[in-house]
Amino acid sequence: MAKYRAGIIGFAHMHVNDVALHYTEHPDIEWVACADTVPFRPGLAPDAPYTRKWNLNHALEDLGVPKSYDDYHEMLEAEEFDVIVVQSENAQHADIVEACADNGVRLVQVEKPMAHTLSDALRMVRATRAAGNELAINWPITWSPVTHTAKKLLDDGIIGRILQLKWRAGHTGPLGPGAMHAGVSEVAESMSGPARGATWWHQTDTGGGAMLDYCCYGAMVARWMIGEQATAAMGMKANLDSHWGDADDNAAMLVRFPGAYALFEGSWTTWDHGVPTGPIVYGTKGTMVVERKGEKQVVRVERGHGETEVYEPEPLPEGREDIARELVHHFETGDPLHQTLQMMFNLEAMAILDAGVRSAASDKLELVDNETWCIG
Amino acid sequence: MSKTYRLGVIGFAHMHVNHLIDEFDDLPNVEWVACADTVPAIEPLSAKRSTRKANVKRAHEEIGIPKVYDDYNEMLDNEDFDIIIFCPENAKHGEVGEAIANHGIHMVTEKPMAASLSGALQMVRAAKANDVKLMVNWPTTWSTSIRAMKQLIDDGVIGDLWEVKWRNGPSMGPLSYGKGADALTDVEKGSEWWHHDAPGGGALLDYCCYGACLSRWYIGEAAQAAVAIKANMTSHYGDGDDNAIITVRFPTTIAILEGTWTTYHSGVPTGPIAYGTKGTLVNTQQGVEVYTTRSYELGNPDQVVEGEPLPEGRATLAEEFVHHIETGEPLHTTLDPQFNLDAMAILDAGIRSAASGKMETVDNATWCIG
Repeated sequence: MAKYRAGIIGFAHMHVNDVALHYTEHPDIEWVACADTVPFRPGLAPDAPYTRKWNLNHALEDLGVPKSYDDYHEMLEAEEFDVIVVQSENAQHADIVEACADNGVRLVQVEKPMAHTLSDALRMVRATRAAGNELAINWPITWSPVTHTAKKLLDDGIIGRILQLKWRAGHTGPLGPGAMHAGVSEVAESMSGPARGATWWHQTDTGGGAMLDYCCYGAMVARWMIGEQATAAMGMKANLDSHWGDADDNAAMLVRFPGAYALFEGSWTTWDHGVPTGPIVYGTKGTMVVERKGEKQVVRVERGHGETEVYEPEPLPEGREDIARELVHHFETGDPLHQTLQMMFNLEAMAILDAGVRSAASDKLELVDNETWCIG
Repeated sequence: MSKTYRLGVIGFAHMHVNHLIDEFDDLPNVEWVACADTVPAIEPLSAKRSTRKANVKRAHEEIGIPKVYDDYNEMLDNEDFDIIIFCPENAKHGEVGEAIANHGIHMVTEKPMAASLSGALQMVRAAKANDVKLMVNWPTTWSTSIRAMKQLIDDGVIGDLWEVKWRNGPSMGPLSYGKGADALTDVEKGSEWWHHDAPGGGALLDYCCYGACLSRWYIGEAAQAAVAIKANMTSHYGDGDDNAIITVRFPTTIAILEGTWTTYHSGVPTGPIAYGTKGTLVNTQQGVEVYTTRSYELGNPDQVVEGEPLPEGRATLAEEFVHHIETGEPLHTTLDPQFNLDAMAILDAGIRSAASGKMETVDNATWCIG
């Protein structure tokens, strides 16, 4: 008999399909129910793959979630949950985490990025502390073994002291032409611009946009690999080719750490990156390129003059290879979650992202805040 | 038999040079070789007490430093030194420190470290490149109550520290202490570097620096950013500030640093004051008042801590520096060059903020370009 009762709130983010599949496959987890959030605006292509209604139906029809509620508050009051998977619009994360904390959910697992502002992330932290439950943030990249190998090699000093970290990520947009997402086999039908613009992804007030969607990985990876908190950031957002929405479809952030700096790029208009996107880490004794794409996922260290070292990734520890197994492992053993999933670590990654968002608005360097310095 | 140290002095702009000379003069194994002032940008009109001319005269005639050079570079080329005290204008600390280091001589300067983080980094680079010792002296380091306050904070007596405040004691400016025939006129004050911005004069550098040093020390980590104002309230004979306030952001702590050259009487205790989650410390110079009973009224301190005597053999700045040279043991934290870069970086951010009108980041060697 399954030991852990799981539910889903929010189907805005199509990562729900992949995450929910891992839950479905785990023998110790049983689905109880799910509910979408109320969208900010009506959709124009409500049945298109990877849009919220399609994702919800996929969970009900293909992944074994037995029922859905229209109102997640009602669901939280009516049912008991050990875990709630949150895949809503970024701007709804805080409301949902608060509601889960108030209703006795043991662990709330929110999809990256933690929130759309540091202020909301802090609401989530306060609610979690007050309730004494747990909050974890899921990052697809955490389940990429090669990134763990890279981190270990960096900690061993393989390229000396880290001076710079670069990250670029993107595609043609979450609902762009040819979009494919893990967990399902469908390729997105070609949605019209206005139909994409009617989804939360391309709206700023919902927490959409490429900076939050993709620079967030850079913030997390840089904080993790550099090993200390950033101090300030400059950000730039652009809407280059998605004028049917008001959100950015390209963004860049320059981040200042005490003894290093980082450059993050996020793009929703890129057919092919053309070059490896990293993370690329420059150190005092070499350059590390984390090759994450394609079949050959390796850590490549370049020493100059054609000297190249290649490190094969170690597999992830048994029983901790995906988000569902990691959570069950955590429940069973009491071992801490992987660092990149932890609440307080993610607060720091969120603070970096938040400084970039503020900088894009203010046109100047913004400080990376924390609980002391984030007022309101 | 202990070595005899050959001593020199460069720069007599800061009158604390007199105290530094006296402290080294008290050591049994020193020999004065020569001294030289730096060349002031404005010709001083006075040789009254505490002016640079008076300071040179005192060193030569009262202390007995045998030779006085006009050009410190010539002096460095001609003479052999083990240690040089340098107290030029704050803005010249970098170039003078570099020249001393390039001659392989250990060096001691007086607070603040420099007039900019750039100048401070110039000194540190030169000291490292030439493998010589550098010490930045703070009068406050030799106060037993200042040290006791650090111990009380580290012992958690007031819980987690969340604010440090500093305001200097009553001061009408560095050249205001002479009486009768020694009193400087406004025009004479205006001819000294203290009241000019370019050489690193002004109350922000002169007095907020103590707060930068002490808040960095008490809080125990580097600051992040600062906002500041500078004002020239009553010293219009020069273009330097005579009042300044810096508000400093540390990761989880705030500091307020006030410098004033126009205060007859402070009216209230000026501290440093440390606020924590479980109490408040007020340094009264005689001791540290510890307030740990919660009260809406101004109460009496729960205890007053006077502090331990300074360690034997390290009780003066001169003893401390020679101890450091001879044993290789670290300097007291507040005198250490790397620590002082952090304190200087706070001042530097304050200066930039006063100019830009916005919050400025506190830099370090990675982020201070040029």
